[in-house]
Amino acid sequence: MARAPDRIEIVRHGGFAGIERRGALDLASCPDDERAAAATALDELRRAAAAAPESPRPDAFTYSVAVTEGDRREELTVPEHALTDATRPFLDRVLRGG
Amino acid sequence: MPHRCAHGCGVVPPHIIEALARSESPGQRDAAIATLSADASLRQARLMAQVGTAGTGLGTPAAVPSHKHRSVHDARNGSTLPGVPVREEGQPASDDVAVNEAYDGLGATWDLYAEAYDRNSIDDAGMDLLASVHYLRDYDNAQWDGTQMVFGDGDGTVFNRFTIAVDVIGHELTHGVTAATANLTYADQSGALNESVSDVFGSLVKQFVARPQPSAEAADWLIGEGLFTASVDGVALRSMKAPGTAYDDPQLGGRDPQPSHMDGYVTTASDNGGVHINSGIPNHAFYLVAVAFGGFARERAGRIWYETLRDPQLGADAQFSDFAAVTAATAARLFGAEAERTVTGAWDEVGVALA
Repeated sequence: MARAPDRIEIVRHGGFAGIERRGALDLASCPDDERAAAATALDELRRAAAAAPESPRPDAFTYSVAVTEGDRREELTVPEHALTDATRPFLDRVLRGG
Repeated sequence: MPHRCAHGCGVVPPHIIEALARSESPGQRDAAIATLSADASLRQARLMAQVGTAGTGLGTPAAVPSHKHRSVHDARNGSTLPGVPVREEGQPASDDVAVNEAYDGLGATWDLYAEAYDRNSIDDAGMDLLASVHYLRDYDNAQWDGTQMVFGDGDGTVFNRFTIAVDVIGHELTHGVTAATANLTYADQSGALNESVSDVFGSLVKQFVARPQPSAEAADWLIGEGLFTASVDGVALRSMKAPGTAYDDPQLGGRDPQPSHMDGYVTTASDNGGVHINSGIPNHAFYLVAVAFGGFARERAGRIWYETLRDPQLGADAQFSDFAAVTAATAARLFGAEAERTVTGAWDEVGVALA
């Protein structure tokens, strides 16, 4: 099975309200299928972050995603308009609390 | 502690993740620099166009006929925009309150810009106003995406539907006006100015449609009144009259963080440099100017801010002091030396010296 992260932390900032929301997912103790699903969502988020337009859009949400795998840490910045119907529910779920 | 994989894996409480907030991606600065240069060339092009027009000797260019056309769509809780058309200009009211609020808010904003500032829609060239309601599910936001308005229904726990407050609609459409004029870069001080200009004209739309219309002194100067559900301890999202006092609730992470003075300016990597926080400073300056002039805020204070936004002297990367200087010069040009002193005095009160 594909490698999977141990932990994902998300901060959503911006939006009309400008109020931050945070959440995290600890995957180390999760079953393989949960870890695989998270790994798939992260792959899509990496593509979204790479393809995201450079100038921020007023009042859009921005997601800062930090991924920990062993001693490696990766950080992604993804604006909401780069999300898809596959990645959006994943981020919302982490922010909402599982 | 986190985990427990019983259902959907473990979620960590917010305070454990402080580190992430401090670690804005390194790409952010590069992106900002790229944005700055892109904006600089756009601005240059706009200046050239203005110079070109002035140099033809043909007088003012033929005005585009005044055109007001609203088109409200229903995204049906999906992500596809604009969605299904539900109410076009002139059609009767819908059974859907969000549709009608969007339609009326677009109209109120168009009317304020037309009647108070002789502006022909967002682009001053009669562009159609397009809006989509019911975007996604539980979406706690509204935005101008560069071509249209998007409104969420809110989560129902903390936020109501985002069409509920007409100043939110005025705020968002004003982002379109700013993009078509000064195009203030959406980061740090120029970003806080971009936000503030949207709050200013959003509030003026609210004051414009209220009956009776309030004077500057009598207006509430709240932004987003009605957006919070009854469970929230707060009257609105922001207060231009008293920044920092709009809410205080753990569901929102605590107290309204807006400063009303440069002493409280917040340096942060979050939210493009705290654009929704530091906007409290220019917001309060506008409030002070409006109250000092008295009467309807859109008339003199609003006119000065509107002309400032259109002034080629105002750069896309304007800082508070640059913006303040253009408002003072505009006040002097339009209303004389005493008005200029009023404007300068307000900026001084919020700790901003003119550039």
